[in-house]
Formats: sequence, structure tokens, C-alpha cells
Amino acid sequence: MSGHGSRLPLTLRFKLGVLALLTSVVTAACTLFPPRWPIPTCYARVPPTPSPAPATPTPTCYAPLPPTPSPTAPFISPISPLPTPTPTALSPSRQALRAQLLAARQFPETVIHLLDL
Amino acid sequence: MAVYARLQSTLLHWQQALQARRAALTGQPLLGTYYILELTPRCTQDCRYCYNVWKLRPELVTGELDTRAWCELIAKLQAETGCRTVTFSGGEPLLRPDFRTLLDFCHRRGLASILITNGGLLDTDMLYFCLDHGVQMFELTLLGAEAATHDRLTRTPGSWERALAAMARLAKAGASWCGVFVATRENIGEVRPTLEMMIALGATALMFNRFNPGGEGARHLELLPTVEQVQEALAVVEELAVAYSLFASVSIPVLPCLVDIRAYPHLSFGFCAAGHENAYTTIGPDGRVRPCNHTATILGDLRSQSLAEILAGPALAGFVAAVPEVCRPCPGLATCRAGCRAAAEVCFGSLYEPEPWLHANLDRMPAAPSK
Repeated sequence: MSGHGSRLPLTLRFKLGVLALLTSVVTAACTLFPPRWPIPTCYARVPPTPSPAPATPTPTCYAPLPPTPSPTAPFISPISPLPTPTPTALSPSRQALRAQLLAARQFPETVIHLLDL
Repeated sequence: MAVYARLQSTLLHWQQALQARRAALTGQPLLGTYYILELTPRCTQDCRYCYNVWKLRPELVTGELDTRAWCELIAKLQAETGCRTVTFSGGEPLLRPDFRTLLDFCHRRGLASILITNGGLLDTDMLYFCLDHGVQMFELTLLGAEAATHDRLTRTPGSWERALAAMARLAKAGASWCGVFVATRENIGEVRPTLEMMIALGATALMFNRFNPGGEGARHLELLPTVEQVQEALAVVEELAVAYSLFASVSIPVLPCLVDIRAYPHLSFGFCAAGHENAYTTIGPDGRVRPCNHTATILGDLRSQSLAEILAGPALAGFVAAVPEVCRPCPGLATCRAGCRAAAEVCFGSLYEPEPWLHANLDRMPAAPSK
């Protein structure tokens, strides 16, 4: 023995060290994958028929969900191969086009009304 | 909590990157990024050009999932793929009385969404609900500059005015929306004034889709535009894209053997993405999975199978590998992928047939077989 009688044998200490290392590696790897929450939703369950009273939906709630992350990535249209630009204020050329089409009464009254609001 | 949310978002992104890397290394199918959820086969319109396959073959949809089933599938899809965006389509997705519940569910799980709608049910209240719950892009179709043109194609009186009203609401709200023009033989002459109307209403992007027969459209092959009509219309789209600095895409394949697409450098031409990273895998109203929203090929059932299992099956491989004989010698095949094979499948019963627009113009192919 090495003279440190209270210490564990070297091989056992080595195995414990390897085990601890593996545990930390596995734990870290697991964080790469998103947690699987219980299926969380609220939906209206209609009472089974026949029912003596008019069917009133009874809300059934599941576990609350984590908050929504704010979108950070640029939007890519699923049916277009390139990113779609973010909206901008109507450019002068578009404003002129709109004025021209409004003057020509190209839009129906409902649309003109909506644009005027 | 914000830190947790950011961490979750980052981890999901890493997971997607890892999956892509794994696919590259192992040859396993990539699960992709884009998913179309066809919430319902029901619609408020009866469009003659509609590609929904169940219009022609009702047996392809066995039912409509309820709220809970859709939530379970969405959660499963997100857990399996790490996707960050889903696209709601139909039918008309806003016809579902639980649409807000489904959208809210996605939003709470950090999923952004795209809404493909005819606009008829997109009132102000619904619009702001969508904007508050993660809808990043709306896609609406306008088929003509005159009500008669649009309504004749939709067979729905008042649909033109309702679509324009929805576009005006989007404009007022400053929302991102894509104006879609479906070019048929009947309306392609109105492409310029129609696109101008959408531009004047603040469309963020334009999409020009030549009519692609399928579903109800398979009964109306007479709506196919000619090659010359498409060439002229593309020139108009190109001109407007430049003049108004607009992103303009052409989603339905325009076959380079029929039209020299190099003449339109400002347009983004798309080709069949099935089996590729940018595929828009479609989940039908009953939870069954198809390679895209035009095809009748059912790959599997997401209610009982994992998406990886579904995409690894022989059905997708067969769909991707199918090439019509006339296209096999073509040097452009790798890019063009023989156009829309789904349309050939629906209209002619085989993925190996030339797609309808090519079929109608076989004599114009540079390497057309002698008759």
C-alpha cells in the first residue's frame, strides 16, 4: 500500500474518475436536445352525447408552455429559395402607383375605404 | 425566462445543424426545415385551377384531425425536426374554428408561421391575432385586375373584392405578405395591372406561378398558358421587380427547355425540392405525409410513424427518382428535375409521364423525339 490507508485503491479511484467524466459528458450532450414537454394544449372537450343539456364545451388545460423565443433568424419563405425582405414603408414609387390606381378607381369602394381609415 | 427562451432557440438551431451534418455524413434523409400543414380540405372557394389532390381523388383524405391531434402532431414534428417555422394551408385554414388555438399553440412553442389564405376570412381581428401570434408572412392570391376575371376562376362571387380587402388590411397593418398571381390562359393578359394592384397595396414580395394542373385543375387543362404567354408575363414580372425593388419568385417550375429563364435575372426560379433540404414536406388534413402539397403520393402517417422513418421509406426515394424518358438525356435535368412530376402523377397517373405543361409542348423541346 502507499501508506495512505484511508484512501481508496488507485484503480478504483481511476474508475470513479472515468465514471464522473462520462456522467458530465452525457449530461452536457443531453442539453443539446430540446426538452420534451408533456403535450401542452387547451382544447374544448364536448361532453359525450346524448346529453340532457345543450353541449357546452369544457376547457381542458394542460401544463403551461415555455415562453416564446423572439425570432432572431431572417425569414426564409418555404416556397421560395431566397430570403424574403422585411417590410418597409411604402416607397415613393409605390405611393405614386397607389395614387394613380386610386385616381383610376381601380380598387373597389371597400378597399378605398379601408385605405382611407 | 428570456435567457431560457434564447437558449432553447439556440439549441434547436444547433440540433438542425447537427441533423444536416449527420445527413451529409451518413446519407440518411435530411428532415428538412419547411413543413406545410393542410389543416382542412374545406374551402370557401371553388377554384378551377386548384391543385388540392382531394378535389380529384377524395379518398386521399380520410378525415380531418381535431385540435388535440393537430397539437400532438405539431409537437411531434418540432421535437423530431427542430423546425422553427410551419406553414398553414388547406383548403382554407381560417375555416377551422380552432385556428386561433392551433396558432397560439405554435406560438407558445416558439414556432413562427406562414399563412396561405384566400383572404376571405382575414378580418381585422383575425389579422391582428395572427400578427400577435407569430405569423411572419401571409400569402394571398389575386387573379385579375377585374372582379370578373378573378371570380370566374374562383367560381366564387365577391372573392376578388374580399381578397383585395384583406390585402388592404395587411397594408394598413404593415404586415409582410406575398402577392401570388396564378397565371392561366384566361387571366395571364392581366398580369401587369394585377401585380401593380398588389404592389400598390404594399406586397412585400411577389410570386408568379404558372397554372400547374392537379386536383380540380386536372379537369381544366384548357387553362394552361402557352409558352409565349408565360415568356411575356415573366418579362412583366421582371420589369416590375426591378422597378419596385421587389423580391419576385417563380415557385412552379418553368422548364428551361421551354423558356430561357436566364432572360429574367431578377426572378428567383424554383424547382421541385422533394427529397432535398429545402423540400416542403406536407402533412395532410388527416396527418398523412406527402413530399409536397401538389402530389398524391402518401409517404406515411405521422400519427403512427416518426418523420425520419417516413422519409427514409421507399416511397420518397421512388418519387425523387422518377424521371420521364424524354427528360433523361437533358443536361439540365439536375436543375430542372423534370418540372412538376406531381402534376404528371395526378393528371396522367404516373410520375414517369412528362408533366402537363411539358406534355402540351413536347414538340418544342430541343431534343424532342421525332414523331
